[in-house]
Amino acid sequence: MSALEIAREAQSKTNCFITISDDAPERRHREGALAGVPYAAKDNFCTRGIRTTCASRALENFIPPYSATVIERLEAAGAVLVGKANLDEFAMGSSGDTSYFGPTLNPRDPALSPGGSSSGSAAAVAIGAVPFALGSDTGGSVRQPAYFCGVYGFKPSYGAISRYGMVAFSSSLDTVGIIGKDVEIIQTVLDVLAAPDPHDATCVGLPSIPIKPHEALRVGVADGVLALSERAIHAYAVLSYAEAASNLARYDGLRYGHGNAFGWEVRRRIELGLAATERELEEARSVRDAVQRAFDEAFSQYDLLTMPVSPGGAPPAGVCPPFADQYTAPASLAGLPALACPDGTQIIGKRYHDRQVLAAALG
Amino acid sequence: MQVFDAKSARMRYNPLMDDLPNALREDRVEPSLSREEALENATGVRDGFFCAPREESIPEEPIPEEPTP
Repeated sequence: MSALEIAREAQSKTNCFITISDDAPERRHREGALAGVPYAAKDNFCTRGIRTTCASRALENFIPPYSATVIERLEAAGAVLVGKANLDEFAMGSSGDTSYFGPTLNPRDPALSPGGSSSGSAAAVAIGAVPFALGSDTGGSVRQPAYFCGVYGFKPSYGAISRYGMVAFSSSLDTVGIIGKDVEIIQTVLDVLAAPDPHDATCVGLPSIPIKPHEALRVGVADGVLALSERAIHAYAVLSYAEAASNLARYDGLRYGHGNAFGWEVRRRIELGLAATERELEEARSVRDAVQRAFDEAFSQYDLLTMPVSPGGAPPAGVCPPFADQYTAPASLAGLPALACPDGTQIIGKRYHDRQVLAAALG
Repeated sequence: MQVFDAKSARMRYNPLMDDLPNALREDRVEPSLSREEALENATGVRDGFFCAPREESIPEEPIPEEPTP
């Protein structure tokens, strides 16, 4: 079967795609680190000539006139985009249910939630349609669905990968994430993508840091971070909703033709974000600093930290548990690299030690 | 939100504020989208500009209902 036929079959079983790129075979490349490797991109990455909906009615017919930097870099490395993956609307959600194009099904068990918001990216990798997929991770949106679907999900250090052309949700937290069937493919994709980009002033790439051998690694549990995790999730909500309210103001109804085209979850977050007071924001920024210092303290003893990806396994389909981001939001607030493994373990590294995190998972 | 002792903490706006305090660079002209490309997604175009409906003529769209659990 061709990559497109495999993608169509995956779509019929899980609704993991919003758009399948019918011209993918024509764009097949034979050179580069990812020559001929098919991949999916979450539908919040701009793709020139291919519609980019963010799973929202507001952008139902939006065809970007340019591609995100990550899409261009993957194409230059020979990878072939087979489809735009389903997601929670504007990447807001932890279950895949808020998509205007219908929920994604978990390929492991359709009765269970696939997680979110990168639900389609995780499902497409888990069902074997593509070996890797791009997602976006603001508070856990790559790690949590990867775990629920039984694959690897990596959130790099904040600033490692360009976000130019990725539709903004919460700018101080958003990162490009990589979901892969194994750690090796994530390493290859990270090497292709992690480089400074003049189009994104927050992108610094990854410095070259020696990787410690496995036996020399000190791995521990960050008790100080875990103690703060409930406060962290509240701080995460205040900051991300306030930033979302600002970022989504651009869909004002004039340029995209809809005034009220957002679904209920996006509206809820915008309205809560607009209601945040300066005192709440200051408190949230203080908690963010406390989380950062708790991580610094833990990293004075350890090279890597472990914690669960999620408070529980995948809930029943259609259920979004409260505190779903409790163990993923801390690394987002501190901008640290974090890998979710299929067994539910999360490995967190020091900032810019992304390759160390991946090397440790390989064992 | 729970009360938190903010006295000892400072405001943290983003993870890069220590590494990247400023990201200014020299201005330089680079190729950009053409006007036609920039207007490709406009719902209406006239003389190279976006056409927007007059405020009183924007139809009220229904607000989606929150799903019941």
